[in-house]
Amino acid sequence: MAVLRAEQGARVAEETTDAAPAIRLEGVTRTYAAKGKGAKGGGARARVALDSVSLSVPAGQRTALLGPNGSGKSTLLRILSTLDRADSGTVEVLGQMIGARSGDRELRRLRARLGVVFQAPALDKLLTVRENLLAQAALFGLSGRAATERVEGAAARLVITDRLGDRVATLSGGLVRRADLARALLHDPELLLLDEPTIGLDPRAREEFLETLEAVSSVTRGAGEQRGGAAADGGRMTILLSTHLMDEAQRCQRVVMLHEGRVVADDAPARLRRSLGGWVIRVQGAAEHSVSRAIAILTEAGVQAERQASGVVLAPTSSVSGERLESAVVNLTRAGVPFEIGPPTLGDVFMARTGEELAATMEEPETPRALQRRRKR
Amino acid sequence: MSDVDALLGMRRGPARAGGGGASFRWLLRRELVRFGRQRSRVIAALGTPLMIWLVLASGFAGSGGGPGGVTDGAGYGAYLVPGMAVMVVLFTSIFAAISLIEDRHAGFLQSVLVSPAPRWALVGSKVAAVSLVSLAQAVVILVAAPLTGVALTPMGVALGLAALLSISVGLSGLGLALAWQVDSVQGFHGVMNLVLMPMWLLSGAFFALEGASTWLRAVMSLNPLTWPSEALRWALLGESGLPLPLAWAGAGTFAAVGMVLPMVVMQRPVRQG
Repeated sequence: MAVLRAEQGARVAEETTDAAPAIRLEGVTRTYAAKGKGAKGGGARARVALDSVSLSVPAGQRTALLGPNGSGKSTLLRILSTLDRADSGTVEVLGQMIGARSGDRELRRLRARLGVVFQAPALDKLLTVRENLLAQAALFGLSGRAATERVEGAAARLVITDRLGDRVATLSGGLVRRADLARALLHDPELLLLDEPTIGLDPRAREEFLETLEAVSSVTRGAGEQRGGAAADGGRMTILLSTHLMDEAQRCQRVVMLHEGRVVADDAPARLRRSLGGWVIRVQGAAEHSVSRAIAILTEAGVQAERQASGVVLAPTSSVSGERLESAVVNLTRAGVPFEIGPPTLGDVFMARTGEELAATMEEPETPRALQRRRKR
Repeated sequence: MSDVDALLGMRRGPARAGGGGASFRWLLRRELVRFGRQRSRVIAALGTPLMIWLVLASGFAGSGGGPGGVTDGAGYGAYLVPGMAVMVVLFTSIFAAISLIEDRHAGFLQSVLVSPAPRWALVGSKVAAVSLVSLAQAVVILVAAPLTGVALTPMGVALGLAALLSISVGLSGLGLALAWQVDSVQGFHGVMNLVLMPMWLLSGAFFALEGASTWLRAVMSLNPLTWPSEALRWALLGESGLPLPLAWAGAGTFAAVGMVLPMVVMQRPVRQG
């Protein structure tokens, strides 16, 4: 596992995306009817979850859908997993178009090639882990000895063998997540879709889960199988992971940033960060007069500084010489303005494009009850 | 073995969009296992009708045969036998519908919907589970029926079980179709009180169709649950408020609609849990 991780780590830094796309979206829009006041009669307000989204996800890579809650990540994954339909636009998954005219048989053939991990683990708590995995195997047409072997093999590799006989309700959050990942991988999918899979996990369990995911994505799928479609070359599994956490997105080869249903950035993480230059100055939590003073100092030094919607002053240094940057830093220090200077993060990129902040890393783990409330909302 | 097989330690066996037989069997097994592991469901589904039966039969014991004035010779307790059997089926169907909403909230339903398993396997497994469980429970009612003076015959029991099967298929299908449209268990309680319980109350479970006022008789005759319930009443008690061909044809229609309706409704995208 450690070797796999090291190999994968060397690759992640910056990979080009010449591979054929596993997912292709063109002008995809999804609107939901509003609930509550104003939703009845002529005053109906629609909520646009996806607004003319176009993107391409390369086959065999790990791609992150990064955005805050409500940015359209889950809606996009629901459409890709055939649970929902786009109102307009083109959706192509593994070489197959998905739309209102897609036949049941066509969709079922596509589903046989997909693995999906939802925000809440899709395991029946009243059943044992083994029963859940065997049920999943049956849903994918695997039965008898083949199903048993798959279940035991997956359990061994995800280190849940000794818990196969336990009811899911008795497992810890981390173990449930591992069992859920085993469920999604049981049929060896070409495309794995994960919707914020680390919600509710403590830091250690989250790290273990992400390491397992990286190990899965860094090995080659069954070579030589004739399946058709973009990812039928026996290459690596394509993984599309939605998250609102920068550090999770950072571990992927490509990042697609979503904000209010629109794609605001789409590139390798390193290239996205480099788009802001070598350094970024952030003025955060300063008094109003300090903020104005900071903007004046930075502008005078030739650094383009803008106050973002979140209140943070962000100053990328992409077109500034070292001398001017040094001068700006000295003047900010003399003026007593609280500021930070450092290499750009994906959060800086997100802020530069949207004006809003993104969570840097994991917040307090969400309790299952809180998660359920949020999902109902 | 490929690298991913080595990683997962498994022998390859291609996943496929098969006919759904294996999916149906496992989903049915899951429903039955879940039922067995939820003792409260077993107690509620069987205990409530038994309690209502006992209370009503005892309460109306001195009232000249009870509402409707039927079941010559036997008491009101005998008249209630088919109604209580229907109630057992109704409760089991309601629990199955609620379990669909719970499956959606828990995420299990989504995992079924993103698999290649056909929708009929999902609908069929829920309906089959309701039918098996409710028929087993209804047998308890039938075993107790002679205590109230009902003279059961083998043919009557066989036809009664056939009528109960049509009721369980129809009610569970209707419940699943309604549950698909509803966001929450609380919301489904509203549907239950507005649709399912009135259907049962007006099916002849408490009072006979032929003894009701004209307008109520018209309403009861249009209630689809009345048709198989009258067929059941005829099978067990030898009397019916509807012409027999109509009752049995209605029973078949009710079951057929119960199978088709959820299949049609579930073609729509599932609501977000």
